[in-house]
Amino acid sequence: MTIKGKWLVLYFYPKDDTPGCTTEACHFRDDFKFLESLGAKVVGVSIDDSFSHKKFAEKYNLPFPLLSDSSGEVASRYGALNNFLVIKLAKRYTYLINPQGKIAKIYLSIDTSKHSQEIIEDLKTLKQQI
Amino acid sequence: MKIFILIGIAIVFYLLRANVMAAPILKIGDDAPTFTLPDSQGNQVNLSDYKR
Repeated sequence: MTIKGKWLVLYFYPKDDTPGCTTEACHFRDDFKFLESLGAKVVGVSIDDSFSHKKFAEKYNLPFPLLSDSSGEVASRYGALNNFLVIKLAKRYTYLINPQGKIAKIYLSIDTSKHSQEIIEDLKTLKQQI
Repeated sequence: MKIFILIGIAIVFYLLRANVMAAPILKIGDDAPTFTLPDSQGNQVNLSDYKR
């Protein structure tokens, strides 16, 4: 992938193809072009495997990558892992990472239907500050 | 009476613990932790793919 120098919307979510996650992903899909025009890429991460991600992405035509963190290691590094003994689920947390790889904004409480728009507004503000 | 005080202390400890656990480990301005994870096509995606 040659996408250097981009803002990155790194969003963790609990499970493919469940209502909240679908709403969240579909809003990112609908705003994808606009987010790109602001210089941002979107990447989703959950504990689901690649097969599940493929089905989810195809079902809703998701234009951005969904990454499989099957061990939960990355989610845990971002403080976004719920470990229920036998079941691991990522928390719905989003990190907005700037082109220098620094965390620019952290979202720990997310309204899935407004999240994408919220990020767009924040990106506009953050870009003005540079 | 003593038992109520003990229960009270237990609740306070429990709440404090929950707060500590809920605190994010990362702050604004921190370096984003690196990662390498497979996408649904089997490509490995790195955080560094996105940086300058």
